[in-house]
Amino acid sequence: MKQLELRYVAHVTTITDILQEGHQTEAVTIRELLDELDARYGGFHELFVNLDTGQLNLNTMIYYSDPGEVPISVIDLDHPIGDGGTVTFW
Amino acid sequence: MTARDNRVQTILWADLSNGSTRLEMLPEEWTRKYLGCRGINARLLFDEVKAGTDPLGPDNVLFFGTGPMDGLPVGMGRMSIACKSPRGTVAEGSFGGFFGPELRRAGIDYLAIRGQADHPVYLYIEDGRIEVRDASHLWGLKTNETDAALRKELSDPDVQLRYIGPAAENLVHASPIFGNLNNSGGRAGCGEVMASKRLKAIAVRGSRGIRVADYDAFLEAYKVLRQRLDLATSRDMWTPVWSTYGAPVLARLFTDIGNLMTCNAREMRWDFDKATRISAENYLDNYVTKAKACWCCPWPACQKLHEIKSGKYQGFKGGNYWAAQPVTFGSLIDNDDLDWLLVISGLCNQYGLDVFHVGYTLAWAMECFENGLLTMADTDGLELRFGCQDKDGLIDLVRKIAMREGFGDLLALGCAEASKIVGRGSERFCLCVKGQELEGIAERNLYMVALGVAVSEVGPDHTRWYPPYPCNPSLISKEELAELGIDLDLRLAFQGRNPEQKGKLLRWFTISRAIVESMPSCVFLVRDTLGLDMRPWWNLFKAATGVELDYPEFVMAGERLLNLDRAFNVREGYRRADDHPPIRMATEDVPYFGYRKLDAEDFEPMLDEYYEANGWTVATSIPTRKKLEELGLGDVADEFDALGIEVE
Amino acid sequence: MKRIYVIEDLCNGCRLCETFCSSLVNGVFDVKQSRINVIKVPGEEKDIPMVDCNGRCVRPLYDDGGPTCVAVCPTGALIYEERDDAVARRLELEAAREEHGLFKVIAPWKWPLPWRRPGADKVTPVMETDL
Repeated sequence: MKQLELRYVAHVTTITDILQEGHQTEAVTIRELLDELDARYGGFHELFVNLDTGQLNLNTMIYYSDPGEVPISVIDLDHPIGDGGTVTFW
Repeated sequence: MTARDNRVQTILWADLSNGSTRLEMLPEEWTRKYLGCRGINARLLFDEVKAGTDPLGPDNVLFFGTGPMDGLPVGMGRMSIACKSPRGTVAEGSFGGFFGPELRRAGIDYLAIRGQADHPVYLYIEDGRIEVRDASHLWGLKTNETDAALRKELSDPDVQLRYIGPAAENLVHASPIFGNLNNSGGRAGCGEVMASKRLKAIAVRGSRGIRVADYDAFLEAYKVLRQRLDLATSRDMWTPVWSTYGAPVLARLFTDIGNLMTCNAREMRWDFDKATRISAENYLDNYVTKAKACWCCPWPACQKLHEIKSGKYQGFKGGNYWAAQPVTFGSLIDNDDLDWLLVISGLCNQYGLDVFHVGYTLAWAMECFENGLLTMADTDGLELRFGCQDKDGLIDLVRKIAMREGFGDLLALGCAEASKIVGRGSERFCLCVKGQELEGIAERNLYMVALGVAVSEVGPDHTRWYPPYPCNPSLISKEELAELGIDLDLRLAFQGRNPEQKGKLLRWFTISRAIVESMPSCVFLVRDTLGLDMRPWWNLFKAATGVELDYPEFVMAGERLLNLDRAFNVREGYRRADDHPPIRMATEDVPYFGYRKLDAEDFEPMLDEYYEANGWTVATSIPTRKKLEELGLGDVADEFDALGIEVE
Repeated sequence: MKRIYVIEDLCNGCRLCETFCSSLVNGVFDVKQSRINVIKVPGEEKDIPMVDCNGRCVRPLYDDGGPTCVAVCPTGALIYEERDDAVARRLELEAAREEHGLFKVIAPWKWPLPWRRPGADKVTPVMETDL
């Protein structure tokens, strides 16, 4: 089980109704995390996953950081997530 | 009255020393060469305000410029104000609202005000008729009070106004001009110059229609532009968020990635919960009462009105919480109380103060205080620390800055001049370029921003090359780029901390924004294709004016403007040495994330690339004769020769 | 029969409606010719569109034939509907506002991104919800 910090910005809060939360997960990649959040809230696939490419929708941003590291802008949805990571959804 | 066209532009000269006015037509050729608005203001300023002119004296000229798009549904009400800054550089600022269309409907495209009145006056303009009226009863009123008083006096709720507040009247550094309550522009010096002429306000009413040269073509061109800008169809991810929640969303993102100036940029990362409290989500949910917009903007709520609903400041109303204030009155001074932040911000608008001047000078003073360079004896007993414990004291200090009372008198000078007086190393805490405070954008993580802020002819002004953040380079294809004749490696150019391609990118961004601001239209609206494709504006310009020019000619107007601004500064004695980052950014690493200081090794090559790409002499930044003649500005090179300025 | 209805508190005062309408007959942008005018209450605190036309637009901007003013309005303050649908829209706006502060400044039918509808547990794809 991994513990993540999830942060939702602006329009994403109209999907989640909250600004941020701690989240326990078995997900190994950003893609799997998106599957979980879509199952819980809906909307995450529609917003973040491009139907044609299967990769991140160019119209969105996801930032990921491991604890103490500089956040990076996710391009490949199969980017791994680690325990204590922070994910920000734009 | 007959409808007017957009091909020939008119200028109304007013001399406040003797009350004389005259309306003239500008050469038709100028519409082709300079387009309008900022472009024509740049030409006028260079021609009319010669080197060594006293900025606060009668010979400085204050230009209010509209342009061929104003009054049409793509001009966004933009206008440009230009003059010589009290600091010596070009002072040019733009703002939106509704004044520009009204002035054009009155048959006037440019207002040029010289001289000085011997008592406070305001100008009343109606359909080409102008009166200089007494404003003694208005002098001293805050901006919102002036707005209400003039609407009542003129019995006209729809009269359009521009005015200054008490801060400008008191010649406080960087005071802008205001209008439509919460719109402002010209923090580079325009408010002070307006006050030096004892001009309190300008009121205008116009009733002429505006004819475009080819209506069908105009509508088709509008649809293309609208498709790029509309929330439903824009390619840019920011469009829906930017146009509703707005810029304060950046507080939470930037604090995470080391992009948020905190405690006078000593830190670049703030507490995430504090950032959340002042961020756009909280603002929109709990403070916003209504969407507002500039003239004919396709975005729903770039501007907003807000009200504080409860607590100590209940009932306080204001508007336009945007990109500046989360930094200047938030992270920069370590304040996370959004109520108080909106009150300070609102007071700045009411007194007519520049939020960047006030925020950065307060932050400078706080850092000085924490380092013992200022004491309570200097600050009228105020304990000036980051964290803003003494909220009432700070509110009163903002008033004292506007009124030049007590400690406020030192801060009213701006932190560049104030640190000269205080000395003892306080210059290190002053975040200024060319004597003007920064805006809100990180430099040590975004090298294009560092370069752009340093070279801007008016002092820090990111709107000259907006947007500042690296965009997704896939938004525009290689084919489109080739079609446009743009020679840029976008992938490299958009890597934040890679010095390569920054000079070339900045050059193109500056030229393309210059074009947009010469139409005029709003630089916020270039995002869809990263401001690389100007063809939608070109098509609108041709349809509106009937001026046939090819795309390279259209683009050249932007480069002309850039060179005229640079030439003005060169004539005043500015050179390469003045284009550098603030001391802190040049000498201090960010304490984490590995963001290094901008030392000469990284910065100077970017400057070289920028000057070379522009065709300017690399050692001095002076435009070469070859470049000037290429742009049809041979007269500028001749003037340099005559003045003994070395032109290559 | 469809008419133009106004949702006043969504109007941001931009005057796109007024400006376009004024030009539709003779190609000149002249506010005096407009059949819709935005009244601005002094202090810029309210913007109130006043419609003087029957909704059969003399020159629709887009192929759907709808009134130009409605087509260009950025916030959704103008709608062109039968009466029952107009009432439904208004109620839709009120319900959406209860849930999300966003809809103070834009109509839900103008928002292009997924959002959770009132009463729904989660966001469902647009095709499955009625617009």
